[in-house]
Amino acid sequence: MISYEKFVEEATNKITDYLPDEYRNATVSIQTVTKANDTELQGISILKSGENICPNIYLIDYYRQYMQTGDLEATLKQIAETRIRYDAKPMDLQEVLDWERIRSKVTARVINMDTNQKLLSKVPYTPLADLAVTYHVQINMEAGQEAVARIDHALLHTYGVSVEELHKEAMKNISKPENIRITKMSDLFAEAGYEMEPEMVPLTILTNQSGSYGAGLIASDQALQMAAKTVGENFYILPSSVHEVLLLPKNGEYESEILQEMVKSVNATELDPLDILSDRVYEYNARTHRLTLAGDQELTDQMKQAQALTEQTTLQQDAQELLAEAQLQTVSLTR
Amino acid sequence: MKTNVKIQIEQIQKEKQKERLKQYADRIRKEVKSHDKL
Repeated sequence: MISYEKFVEEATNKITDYLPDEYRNATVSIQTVTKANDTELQGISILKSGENICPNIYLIDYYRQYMQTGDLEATLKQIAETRIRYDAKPMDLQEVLDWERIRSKVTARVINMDTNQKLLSKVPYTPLADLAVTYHVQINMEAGQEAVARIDHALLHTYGVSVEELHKEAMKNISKPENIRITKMSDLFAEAGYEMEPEMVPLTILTNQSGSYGAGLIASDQALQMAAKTVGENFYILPSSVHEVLLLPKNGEYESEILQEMVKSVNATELDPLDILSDRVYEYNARTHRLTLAGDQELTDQMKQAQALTEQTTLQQDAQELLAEAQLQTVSLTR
Repeated sequence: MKTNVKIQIEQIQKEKQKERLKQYADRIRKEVKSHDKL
C-alpha cells in the first residue's frame, strides 16, 4: 500500500494513461479546496487543451477505496471514468457566468458559522441561527455524483445581483416539492428489512432529492411547513449532518438538553468532520413560522418566567411596602 | 474582476448516511424505552 501523498503523485503522473486520446495533452494539476468546517481537500483537475473549465475530483475518497481494495490501477481507472462522465454533461464557463442561464440551478446549503470562518470570508452567505446559508450552482451528473460550483464574492459580482436576490432564488429552487424528501425513519428501516414500531423511533428525515447537502432545507420555510404536516405543529430539528436533518415532535417527552447531548456525542464519535453541521438543536413552530435554537427558546421562556416572577415579587414587595406604610400612617393617625 | 470558477465533483456517501441514521434511531429508541419505564 502506498501513502496518500504517493497516491496523489501517482494519480497526477499516470491519470492520462487511463483516459482517451483527446486527453493526451491535458494539463493535470492538484487543487486544494476549503470545504465545510474549514477542512482542506485535494482534488485532481484534468484540463483538456482548448478548454477553460474542468471539474476538480476529490482524491481522498478514491484513496480510501484504494486502501480497501489495494488495486491502484482500478482506482485510477475510476477517477478517469468520473472525468469522462463529466464530459458527457459539460457546463461551459459562459453558462456558469450568466445569471439568467443559471438562476434556476442555484441551490443553498447550510454550514456551521463558527467552524467555517475561513470559508465564509470568501463567499456571500445569509446567517440562520448558528448556521450560514451558502449558495452553489448545481449540475446533476449520474447517480451518486454531483458537479457543483460554489458562488463566491467574485461570481456574485459577475452576476450583478444582491445576496438577498441570490437567497430568494435559491429558496425558490430548493423549495420545489419534487426536491423535498420527507421520510419517516421507521419506513426507511422497513425498506431495508428492519421492522421498527414507528412510536419507538418517532424521527422523520428531511433532505433533498439527491440526499446530498439536504440540510439546506431548514432554511426553507416552505419545506418546514411541509414537514409539519407529517411531524406536527411544533418539532425539534436535530442537525444529524450537512446532508439531512432529523425532526422529532415537541410533545414534552424529550428535553432539548438531552437531545443536544445526543447530537454532540454522535458528531464526536460517528461523523466525518466534513459532514458535521452543528452541536445545537433547533426548534420550529409551524404556526409562527419561527426557527430558533432550542436552548435559546427555552432560555427565553425561562427568562420570561423569571421576569414575570420578578415583576410579581416586585409588585408583592411594593404592595407590602405600601401596606407597611399605610399601617404606619394608620398608627400615626390613631395616635 | 477575473472570475475563476471551480467545479467540484462530489460523491454522495449513502453508506455513511445509513450509519448516522442508525445511531440516532438507536439512541432515540433508548430514550423512548427509558420514558416507558418511568
